[in-house]
Amino acid sequence: MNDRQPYDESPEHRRRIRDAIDACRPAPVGENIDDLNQPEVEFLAAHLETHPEDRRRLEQVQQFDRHLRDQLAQVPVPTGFAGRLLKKLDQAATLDKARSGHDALEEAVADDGMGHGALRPSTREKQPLGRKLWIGIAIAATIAIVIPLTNWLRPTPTLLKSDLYHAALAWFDQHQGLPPVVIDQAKMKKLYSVFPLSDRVVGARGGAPLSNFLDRDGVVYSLTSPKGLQAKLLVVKAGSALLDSDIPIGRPSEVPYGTQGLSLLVWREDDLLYVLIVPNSPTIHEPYKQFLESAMPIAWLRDTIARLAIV
Amino acid sequence: MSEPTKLDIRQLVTDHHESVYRYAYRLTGATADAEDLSQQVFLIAQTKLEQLREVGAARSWLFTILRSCFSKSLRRRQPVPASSMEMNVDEIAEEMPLDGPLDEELLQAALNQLPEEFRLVLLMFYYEDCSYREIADRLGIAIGTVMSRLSRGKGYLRCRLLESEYQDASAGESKLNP
Repeated sequence: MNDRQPYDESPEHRRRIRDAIDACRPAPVGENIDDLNQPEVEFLAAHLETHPEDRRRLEQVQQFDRHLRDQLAQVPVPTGFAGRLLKKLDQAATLDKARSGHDALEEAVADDGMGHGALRPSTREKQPLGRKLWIGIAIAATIAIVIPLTNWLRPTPTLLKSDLYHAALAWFDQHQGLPPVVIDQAKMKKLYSVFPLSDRVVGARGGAPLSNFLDRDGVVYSLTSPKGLQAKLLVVKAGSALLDSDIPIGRPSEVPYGTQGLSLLVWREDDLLYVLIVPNSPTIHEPYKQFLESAMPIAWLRDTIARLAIV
Repeated sequence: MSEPTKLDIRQLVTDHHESVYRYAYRLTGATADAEDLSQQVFLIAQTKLEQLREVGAARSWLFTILRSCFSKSLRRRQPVPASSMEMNVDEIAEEMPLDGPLDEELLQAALNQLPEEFRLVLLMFYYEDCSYREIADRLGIAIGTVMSRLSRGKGYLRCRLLESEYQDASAGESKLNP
């Protein structure tokens, strides 16, 4: 005789069974159903006794859960990540100290000089202009001292430069000689608006979507200098991990990085990172200048770029 | 009475940067974003270190900051409707053959495709080992919502990850039985 309970096939019942099974932790069955309240535990236990197919399903779900839980914890951590974090924290702490020093100086100025705290309101009312003047002088002096000091104290980052160089080199090796990606103009227009060409650059003749450069997407512009030299300009969003203080803002670095026929210039504009790669250059100092004409009027540059088929 | 252990941000980084990074990577799905998020977590931790009373609670505290940073970043993005998960959990095959480890790329791709609120609940369940009640309390949602999101999220992952197992198995069988 079959002692199975009549099977309720309603969607609500199945969902209740499914939710209850999913609520079971990946542990030996019955030991760890801590996410279910008592009536649900009893309901599930009674159901499983008479429904071996659901008991089997519970075991399979738990097996899957164990695999999933183990695998979610298996993520390789980038080399040197802890060091980079500590460096950032040191930089932030240095800035905080500088700020608190500035605050302390302000407090000291606001003090009456006899250890009695801030001046009494009556005194402050009598000499408002003099006090404000002194505070202003103190703040200006603090800023004049603190900003150069924090710049001087900031450790010189070298890792990021080499990371960028290696990433650019790897990207260039991988994409050199590949045919251009065909993509519709509407999509490119959208990409151009998100990753615009820098005003610093001349000689552009088109762009293509860029993917997986420093794990980011963007646009790669092809550049041709007036003398016929080819180059690539990669534009990606620069997250805070990339926004190292050593990357110049608004203008390219004076001296490019790189050797062995590949020179690399990096700069930031707003939240974008620009990487100019000039390949096959006999020296690293000269060729890149053909692509950068910072002295030229910006309006003229824009006209030039417009003429050069950037839609 | 024992003295409280002195809390040091450098020690926190040494002890927890890996688990924070892994969590951030699973949430964001990209190395650079995970680094950014982790960095943000430790910068906040550095400024609010006095809030952490016990060294033993550091991991959970850092994860709370991480979730908060992640959720804030979501508010700036376009929300993805849950209906974009094109699947019906009731239609998932009853058999779930799983011999070896899951395909890593497929796993992260499937996680990335989940709406963020589902991904967060799944990771709180699997990675943080939070109970339903804890998840509900920390996210400020009803326990029924947690159950439903978890069940749908799990169902979606099983569907995506085991789909390939089925395909591999069928391909193998068809090769054996032409």
